[in-house]
Amino acid sequence: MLLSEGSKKVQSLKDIEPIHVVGEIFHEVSDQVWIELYLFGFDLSITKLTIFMWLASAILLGITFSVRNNLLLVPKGRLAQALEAIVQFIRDDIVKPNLKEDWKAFMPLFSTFFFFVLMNNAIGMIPYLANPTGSLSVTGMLAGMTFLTIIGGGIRKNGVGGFLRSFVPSDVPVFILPIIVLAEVLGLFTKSFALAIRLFANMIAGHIVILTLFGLIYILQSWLLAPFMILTNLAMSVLEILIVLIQTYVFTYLSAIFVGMSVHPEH
Amino acid sequence: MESQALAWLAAGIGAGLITIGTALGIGKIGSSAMESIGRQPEAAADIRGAMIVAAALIEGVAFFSIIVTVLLIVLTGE
Repeated sequence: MLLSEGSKKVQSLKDIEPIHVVGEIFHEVSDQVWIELYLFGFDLSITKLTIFMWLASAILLGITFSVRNNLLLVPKGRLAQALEAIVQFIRDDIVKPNLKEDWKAFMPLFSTFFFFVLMNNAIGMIPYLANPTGSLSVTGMLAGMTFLTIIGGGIRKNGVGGFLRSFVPSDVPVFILPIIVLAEVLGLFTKSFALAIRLFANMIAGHIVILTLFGLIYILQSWLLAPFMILTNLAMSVLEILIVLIQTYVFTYLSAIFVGMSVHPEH
Repeated sequence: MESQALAWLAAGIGAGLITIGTALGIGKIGSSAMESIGRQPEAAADIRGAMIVAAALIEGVAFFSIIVTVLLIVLTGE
């Protein structure tokens, strides 16, 4: 952490250059290799964010297995009931409106998306932990799964011909048709890419803002700022909890919209 | 001006321009969503969902440009 390292090594505030604060912030939010591991010529090093992703997955698995025995028509126990409310929200508000009658086939994917993204976002709000979704590799992998589902779902429902025909709108003059088709094909890639960038940037931006506000103490060289910064960061943390929930919803909802557009191209 | 100072100035101005554009976009979405909720309070849940998704789409574009400004600082800061 910025503050703990500062208190260990540095005697007075004058010892810190503002440019080092910027470097420290970007070092703090970036990924670091903890265990180097090379297998079959691939770099499979275990990094800070990998560990936290495993931790988030372990928590999710633990919750799932602890409520597994209570799977009844009317769930018993607080945890099972809370989970049922969330799953019902995913089904009724996210999957069903977008995928219509095919919702059952896509429900497992989108509830996995929702819980995985939620847990990986939320784990960054615990002090000393980092959020794995603040890495472009993790969000890129998630968006890549959406990309494959868009293609796979469209082909499974409409066939290869039907999927390709969804790139060609019906009521467009012939002379601008090539441009439209090109834009639609490009849109397939930019949609997934924007999905990855959106989640990544949202999750990393909050951390950068919090660290920058603390870094202002070092940049402006005054301890008097500390109480104000703590209050500001309290407000920022509340905002970030809101962003954690909204971005989870947005990622799942936009994935559902994109997959729905491919499965039901007439909408 | 040295090139680093120029890059940081560009990043600062860029961040301000991004804020203007994003605030205009999200403000428009928010105002028309409030208007529609006022007209049809029974459709509030649907409108809220659509509002968040539209705001997220604008935000996505804003973050693309934020990353450009961050890169300006990171790449010239070394």
